[in-house]
Amino acid sequence: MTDKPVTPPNKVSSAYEDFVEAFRLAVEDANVEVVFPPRPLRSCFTEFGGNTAAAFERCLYLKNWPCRKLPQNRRLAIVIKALETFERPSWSLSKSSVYLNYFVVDGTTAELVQSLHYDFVAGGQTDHPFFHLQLTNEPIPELDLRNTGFDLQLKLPDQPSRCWVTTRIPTPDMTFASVLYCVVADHLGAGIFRQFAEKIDSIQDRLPSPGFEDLKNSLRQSSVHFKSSHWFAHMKLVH
Amino acid sequence: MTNAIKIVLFEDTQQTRSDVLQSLTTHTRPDGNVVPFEGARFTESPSERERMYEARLEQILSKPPYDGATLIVADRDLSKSLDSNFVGLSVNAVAAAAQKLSIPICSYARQPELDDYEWRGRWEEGHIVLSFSEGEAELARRAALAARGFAEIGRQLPQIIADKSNKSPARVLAALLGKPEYADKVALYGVGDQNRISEVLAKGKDTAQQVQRMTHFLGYWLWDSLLRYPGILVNEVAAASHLNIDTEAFHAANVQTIFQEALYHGPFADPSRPQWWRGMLDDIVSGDNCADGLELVHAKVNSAIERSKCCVDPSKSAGYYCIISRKPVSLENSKGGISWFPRGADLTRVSNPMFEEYGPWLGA
Repeated sequence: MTDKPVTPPNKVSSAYEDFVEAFRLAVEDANVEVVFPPRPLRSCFTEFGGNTAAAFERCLYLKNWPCRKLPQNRRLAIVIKALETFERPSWSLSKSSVYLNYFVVDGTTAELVQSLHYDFVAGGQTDHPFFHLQLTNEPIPELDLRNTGFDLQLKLPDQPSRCWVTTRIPTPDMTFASVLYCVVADHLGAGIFRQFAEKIDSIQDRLPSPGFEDLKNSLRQSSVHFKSSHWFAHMKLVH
Repeated sequence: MTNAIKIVLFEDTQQTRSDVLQSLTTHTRPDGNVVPFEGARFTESPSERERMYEARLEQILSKPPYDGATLIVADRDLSKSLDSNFVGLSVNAVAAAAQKLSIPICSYARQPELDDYEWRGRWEEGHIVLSFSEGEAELARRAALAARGFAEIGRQLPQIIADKSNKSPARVLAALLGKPEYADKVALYGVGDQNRISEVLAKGKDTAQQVQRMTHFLGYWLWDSLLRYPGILVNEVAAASHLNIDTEAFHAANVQTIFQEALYHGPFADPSRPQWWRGMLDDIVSGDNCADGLELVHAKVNSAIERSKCCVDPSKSAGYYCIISRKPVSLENSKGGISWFPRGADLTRVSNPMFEEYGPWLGA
């Protein structure tokens, strides 16, 4: 990946812009905060592998978010980092990794309490469910956190989790937009989520589609398949 | 389709009035009408004459020969007015009357205070400030352009507001520009000018009044915001910078031809100061699977065309536009997201040296 910007079709860049803007409005309606890095969103599309691909990288810092399970004096901070790649000139989505770090904030200290990422690679990865969530103990690099305006003192866990290596949970297509969608549903309440869902409905068709033909074909096939085998359809386990 | 326009001119110096009037008449042909304001022509009762200038002007401007004006053009300094009915008239009184009647107003200064007036021309909200520095012919050309733009908006509006799907001002403006799909982007140019809220909310007593108010509001919004701050639309320097093409090279006819399809032709489009739809420029570039405009013109025009250069550090490509110096600037050497920038103006920046110089006044 280089820093050289690549110009996406307006349909693609405006879909990302509109989605993130709708997210920002939902966040403001909920009276919480999202901090964007100073780089304009359109310049986050960069050259990747010559003129056959492009990359998108964006980090968001969700500041002082509510969490029902936390006592009143504690708040949640969430950092989301998206890394997506596209095929050119089709601008279909060929890879998406979205990292989330959840921090419990006490005063000026942020303790990492949950780390995970959602993954997808067109064509699939060996022994990985096609779309999956992986629970990890990996923090998003501190430089990325700071670049979003993350201004808290970091407290990382003393002991690594023991299950993160093998825990890959199959998911629907959780790309950057889907993750933001679920974050709104998880944290901002039904009313705001409903408005947000309505607002972004028209944007969906403009977002680049992930390439997952094998999975689609598998899902269309009959019930002789084992319940979850379609998650590994790219490995030709079912026909 | 042309739109008949009527301009009312407020100018207190005889010679300048004659010069500006002549130029305006030339530039408003064949469908225009320019009427110099002469307060002395009106007979008012003593009680009427005791009222404030603003109220008196409002009444006079509602009557022939000034009624139905598309635009008022006024000298900034009317203090030398020898009109016995309006001694010491100020442009503020004219502007206040114009505001009440929803007539747009342009002002100019005959003896500009150079940078100061230039600056005000670019920053003053809800009041189009034109420069006199290029002479009365250019002033008149720009004023006629402004009048035609407002007239065009007024002509299209009844049909657009009749469509109930155009609920918000952003939707109305996007429809007016022929880009309904850009409504969300246009909404990001809401500048929060509280003086205009009444115009946004006003339904008017009748459709004609509503159209007049909306024309006033949308015209200023378009002129002052969308056409001023590069983002959804880009001027020549900003377009070249965004495309990563050297500003001079971008002027070349064979380069311009490539991007011609993206030219803005809506209200206030000025052939001498063209603007482009940024999204359409992007589509032209990505349609040929090029990373940027430079790659495209290298392939299609001339591989010797140079990249854009940041005005602070020419070793870097630009990409953005410094709204103060009006030069191309790089992301690294500029500040964006300044509180008074419209949110949609993501190509608008202030170069670091300018920001350091004017920072306290520019805000954060």
